[in-house]
Amino acid sequence: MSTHRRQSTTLFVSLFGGALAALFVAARPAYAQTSAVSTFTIQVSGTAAAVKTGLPETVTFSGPVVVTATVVTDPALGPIAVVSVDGRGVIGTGNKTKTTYINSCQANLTRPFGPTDQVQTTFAFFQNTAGGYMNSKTGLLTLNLTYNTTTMALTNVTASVGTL
Amino acid sequence: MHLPWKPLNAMLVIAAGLCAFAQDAVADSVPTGLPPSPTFNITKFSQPMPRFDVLPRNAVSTLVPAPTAQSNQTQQPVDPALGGGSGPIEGRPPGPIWAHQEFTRFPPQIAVEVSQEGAKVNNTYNPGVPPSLNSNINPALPFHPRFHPGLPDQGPLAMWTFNGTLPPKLVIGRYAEPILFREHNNLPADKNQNGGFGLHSISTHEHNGHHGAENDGFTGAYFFPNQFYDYHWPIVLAGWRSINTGATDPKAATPNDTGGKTNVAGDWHETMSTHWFHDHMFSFTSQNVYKGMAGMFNIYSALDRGNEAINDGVNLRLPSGTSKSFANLDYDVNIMLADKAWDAAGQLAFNIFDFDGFLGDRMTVNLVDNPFFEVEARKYRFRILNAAVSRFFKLALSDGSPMIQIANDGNLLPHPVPLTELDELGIAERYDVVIDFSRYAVGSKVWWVNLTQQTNGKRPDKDLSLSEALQGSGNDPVVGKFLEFRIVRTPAVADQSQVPDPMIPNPDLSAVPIARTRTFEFGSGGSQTTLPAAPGSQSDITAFVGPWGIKTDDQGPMLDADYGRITAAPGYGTREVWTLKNGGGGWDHPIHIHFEEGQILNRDGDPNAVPAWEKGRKDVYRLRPGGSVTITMQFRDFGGMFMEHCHNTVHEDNAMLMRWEIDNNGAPFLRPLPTPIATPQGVTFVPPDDILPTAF
Repeated sequence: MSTHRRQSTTLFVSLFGGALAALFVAARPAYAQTSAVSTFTIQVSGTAAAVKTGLPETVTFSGPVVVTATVVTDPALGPIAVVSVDGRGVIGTGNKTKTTYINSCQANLTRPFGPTDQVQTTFAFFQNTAGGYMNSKTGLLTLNLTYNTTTMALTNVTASVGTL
Repeated sequence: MHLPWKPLNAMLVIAAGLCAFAQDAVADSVPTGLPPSPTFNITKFSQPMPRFDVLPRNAVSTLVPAPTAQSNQTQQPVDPALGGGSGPIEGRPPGPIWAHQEFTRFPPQIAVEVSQEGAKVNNTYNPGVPPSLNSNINPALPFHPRFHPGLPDQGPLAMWTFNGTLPPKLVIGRYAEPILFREHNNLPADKNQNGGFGLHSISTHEHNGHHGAENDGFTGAYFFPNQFYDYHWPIVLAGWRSINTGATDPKAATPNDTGGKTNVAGDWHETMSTHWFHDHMFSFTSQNVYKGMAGMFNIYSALDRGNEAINDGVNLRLPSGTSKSFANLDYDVNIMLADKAWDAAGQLAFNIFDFDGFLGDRMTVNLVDNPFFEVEARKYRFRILNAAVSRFFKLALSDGSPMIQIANDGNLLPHPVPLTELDELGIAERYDVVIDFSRYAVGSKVWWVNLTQQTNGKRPDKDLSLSEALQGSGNDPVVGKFLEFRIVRTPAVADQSQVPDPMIPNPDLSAVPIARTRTFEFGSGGSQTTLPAAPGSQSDITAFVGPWGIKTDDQGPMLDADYGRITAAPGYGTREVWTLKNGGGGWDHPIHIHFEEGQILNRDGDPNAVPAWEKGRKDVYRLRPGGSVTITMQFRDFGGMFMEHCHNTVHEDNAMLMRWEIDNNGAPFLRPLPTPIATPQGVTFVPPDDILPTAF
């Protein structure tokens, strides 16, 4: 895991012209903005059953998924996480034909920040052939994230691959 | 002299709105800040989604008076509500600096004439396709300005649109066929006749046209009721002055009327496809666009022909149709997404007091509420525009089936990207996708689903999983299904379309030296240094004060918008690298840079963090919470004053916008450019009231 932390201080002074400012945009207090970025690379595995994908065979997946969580504090709304997922290194293999399937699993997901989070995102996978993307199928990636709520860094990630 | 607004006047306009909303503000709801929009007992998916209304393409000779290179300053009486006296018939600033650049080289060949006016019934709806391809809407019947047949018509003060009608308008254009877009302002002369929000002075931005700045819809180049403005859209490939000047490259071409193509100058890697146009009135863009001042513009080229059958080795044969040589809309569908809210009377409502952003609680597609759309079992192209004020959308099909993203912000990608969930679509961004409905049985249905929950205008709360979104969100009624696709038949004609790989590789800028790097930080806590106005300054007109601002090159304060201030001035023909930073908080900002397309070099400093769908050219860059984007652009072909701003238009209006300009290419330009001061009695010019130290 790699992690780093950024800090800055911003003075929020709202002005909207005289009386209106007093009415609707009263000056807000200064606040400390903090962000933390942490990255995990994990190995995932799983299967996509033929009955779900419509393919003539079950596809078995394995490979690395890179998960990067950027957690940013917000003075009004609370911390927010952007979970970036890159699972393009995961390769699928047809159980019968040994056909190779690649995927376009990239996502940037806005998530509320807390001690744990379960993230589900779908992705397209397809044969590694010219024009294979025209017959893409749908996979499902499930991530279980654990954060240190003090440092806002990821402390653990588990994941699995399957289908809807 | 009449002035459309000043900070004080803006307060008065807002105060007028207060009358309409003061009671509502007490009963805030999530997410509009207004009482929930009454449903009038309408149900989802009970009305068809209309195709856009295709604007007539007329001969230029139909325009009276004839268009001129310089603004037509013929005098006319001015309405007393606008200060009386006399003023010019055209609101474009006068003189050589605001004359149409290259008007002689690229004389207009097509006239598109529109008006901006209050809502009325449309008796001339032209969807560009037969009813069988428009969910059986009969275009001969009056088309009412309403979000659903069960809702009342919008009144002429509640909704302002192009030609005053629905559906939203579509302009058809092609390369090397310059368009003269003449827009008449037929809005009420009395600015208080606005239905509680919106301003009657307007400036229309062709987003993201590669045109001279006089045609860009500069925020300070607005015009008034009873005036017109001639926008000259030459529709040229960027680089036409220096690349492929002999027009010998077969991929740099435009479709002709007989199925062939005609070569044009410029770089074919700069070919553009899906644009839109919208109001850009200083400090009132959010209200005016929300009121309906938005349309779309499809640009056709030899590559993106709008004919899927022509197989000439250049045409990409994307889903479209075959009957016309170009611009077939049969299977090429414009989609405008916008969340709306209405009051107890069913009239469009807007919360003008929330400077974080405005969210509606009803989802509209092509300005009707949660419709259905009939499709054949074949491939379709959808050109999806986020025309919301502050809302982000994340789209998936209800069964999780893949779509293929082919374009981002109007530019075909280098490679198609199969996706089951699109990325969050920021305000003003456009994603073109292909969906193959041949996977579905005739008689079945599938829905587009919005996965993003948002309850604050600053940024999304959460991207839901598909299964969660299908159950809806108690906090955000715009989550969930919003468009029902009904697969109604097998195609009568075989689907000949393709989604090839590659499509349009990026222009290679590596041989162009980087002349400058600049940094722009977008954040809260903006301050205004040009108010109160100094003697000789007109910053009381050009400057605004709001909670949002932009800090430039890590110097000085976070500045509020002042279109009299020059923030950056790239040298003509040069290449620069700009870093756009999110200045803080958990919010997001979709940043739009006018005129030039950019390529994203890295996100948060990491080139590997640029996803596949952002590897093409773009004009809107979502910063994401805590994020930054570094882009490269080349500034060429035309000059004048342009803008950069957040396209969360509430942020833009309050006051996250700045002016940059290209002004060093000799006459007619001056360095620095004088600032136009628009009045109904005519436009005057003043020197810039501020020039940042790193601008030049």
